Amino acid sequence: MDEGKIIVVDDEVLLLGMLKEAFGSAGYTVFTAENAEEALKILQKESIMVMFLDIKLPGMSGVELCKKIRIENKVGIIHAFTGYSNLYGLLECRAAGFDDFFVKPTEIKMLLKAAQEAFAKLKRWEIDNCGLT
Amino acid sequence: MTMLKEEWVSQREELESYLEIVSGIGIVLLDSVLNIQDCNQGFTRMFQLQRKPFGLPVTNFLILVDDDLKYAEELKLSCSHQSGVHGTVYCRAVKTKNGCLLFCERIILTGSRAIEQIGAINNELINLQRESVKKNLLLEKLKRELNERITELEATLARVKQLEEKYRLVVENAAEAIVIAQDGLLKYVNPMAVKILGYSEKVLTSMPFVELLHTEDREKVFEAHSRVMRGEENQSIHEFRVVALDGTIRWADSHAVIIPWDGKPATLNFIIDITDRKQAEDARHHYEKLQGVLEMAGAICHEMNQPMQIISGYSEMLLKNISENDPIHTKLDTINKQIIRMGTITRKLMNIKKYETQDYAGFCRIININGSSGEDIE
Repeated sequence: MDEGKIIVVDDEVLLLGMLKEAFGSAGYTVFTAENAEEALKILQKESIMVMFLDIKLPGMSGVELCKKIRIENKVGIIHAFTGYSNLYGLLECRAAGFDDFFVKPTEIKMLLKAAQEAFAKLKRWEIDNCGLT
Repeated sequence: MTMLKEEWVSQREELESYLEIVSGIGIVLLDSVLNIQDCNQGFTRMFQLQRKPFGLPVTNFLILVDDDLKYAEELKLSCSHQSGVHGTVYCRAVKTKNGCLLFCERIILTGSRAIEQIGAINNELINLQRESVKKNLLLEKLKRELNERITELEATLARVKQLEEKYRLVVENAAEAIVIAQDGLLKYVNPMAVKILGYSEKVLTSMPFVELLHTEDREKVFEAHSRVMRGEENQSIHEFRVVALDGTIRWADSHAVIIPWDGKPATLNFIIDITDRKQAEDARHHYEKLQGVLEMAGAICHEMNQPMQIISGYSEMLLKNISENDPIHTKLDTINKQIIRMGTITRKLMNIKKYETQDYAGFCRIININGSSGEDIE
C-alpha cells in the first residue's frame, strides 16, 4: 500500500480544490475525480485505501461506485461525503459498504481526523503483510 | 222418470197435431209427486211464464183438491194465486205409468169484480215478488262483486304491507343516515342516523336539528334546506359537520328532496358519514405537503451544503494560518461560525419529520423548522 494516498470524488470542482489543499497540507497525496468513471480509472492505476466519495454524482452515483469498489477492495476505508441525506441514505450507504458517513458542511479537522484514523486502522491491520492490496 | 219422458216423446206427434187444432190448450207432464217435468208453449203462455217451470210443483199454478188427479179425468181447477193468474181451468188428466199428463184448457174468467181485484192484487204481489227476486239477485251479484273487491283490496293491502316491509328493511339497514326534516325538527330518523349522532331516536326527533350542526356550517345547511323547501331544486350539501352526543365532530355529505309528510312539505335527506374519508384526505393532504417540504429541503440542503463546505473549509484553513491577534482572524472566525450555524439549519431541514407551520410577521405562514424537525435552533 502506498501510504498517505487519498482519493476524493465530488462533482463540485471548487470543493475538490479545497479538499485537495486541506488533505495535501496535512501531508497526504490527494487524487481527485469529478465522477465515478474517472475515479474507477484512477483506482485501477493506483492503490488507494482511503476514500471520500460524494453520494450525488453525475451518472453513476457514489453508492454504486462504492459497491463497485467493494467488489475488488474489501478492506479500504470508504467515507460517504454528502450534501444531503437522511436515515434511509445512511442505511443505504452502510449496505453499499461505506465505513463512515459525513454530511456537508463538515469541519476540515474532522475530515483530517477521519483520514488519520483510517490510515491508523490500515496500519494496525498490517495490510501489507497480508498482501491484500 | 225416463220412461215417462219416453212415453211423452212417443205421444208427441199425436199431441202436437192436437195442439195445432186446439192452440190454446196447455199440456203439462207431471211426475208421481206432481212436479212439472215438461210442458208445452200453451202452458207457459197460459201462466205467462218466460220459460218452462221444470221441477216446480203444479200446485204453484193450479189448486188441486186431494186426489183430484187420482180419481177424476175431467177436472175443474182454480188457478193458484202463486201463478199470478186467476180464474178456472178445465183439465183432463191422463194417467201414465209414473205420473200424469194434464191437458189444461183456457181459463174461464169469473166476471166477479172482487175476484178480479184479488187477481190484480195477486198479480201486483207476484210482480213485487219478481222484483224482489230480481233485487235479491242484483243484491247477491253486488255482494259477490263487493266480496271480490274486498278480496282484491285485501290482496293489495298485503302487497302494500310487503312493500312497506321491504322499504322499512332498506331504510333501517341503510349505510346512509336517512332523516325527514320539517318545521325545524327531524320527524323521522333511521337507525344509522342514531348510530352516527349517538342520540336516541326520541331526543333526535324532539330537538331542533340546527343544534346538531356545527356552528360554522349551520348557515350553509339551513340555506340549502330552505332552497329545497321553496322547491327551487334538489340540493346536495358537501362537507358539513355535525356534532355527535359525545362532542365528536363528524363530517357528512347530504342530498335532499322535497316530499309531503303528514300533509305538509318536508325534506327527505340522505346523509353519508364521510369522516373517515375526510380524515384520510386530510392525512393525504398533510403527507403531500410534508413530501413537498422534504423534497424542497433535500434540494436546499444538497445545493447549499456544497458552497457552505467550500467556505467552511477555506475559512478553517485560513484561520489556522492567521494569528489570533490579527484583526482578520476575528472576522474569519465569525464567517466560520456562521457557516457552522447554517450547517446546523440545513441539518434540521434534513431531519424534518412532520409538516408544521408558524406565523411570519402576521402576513403569511412559513415552515416551522424547529417544530417540524423536533429540534431547537440555537
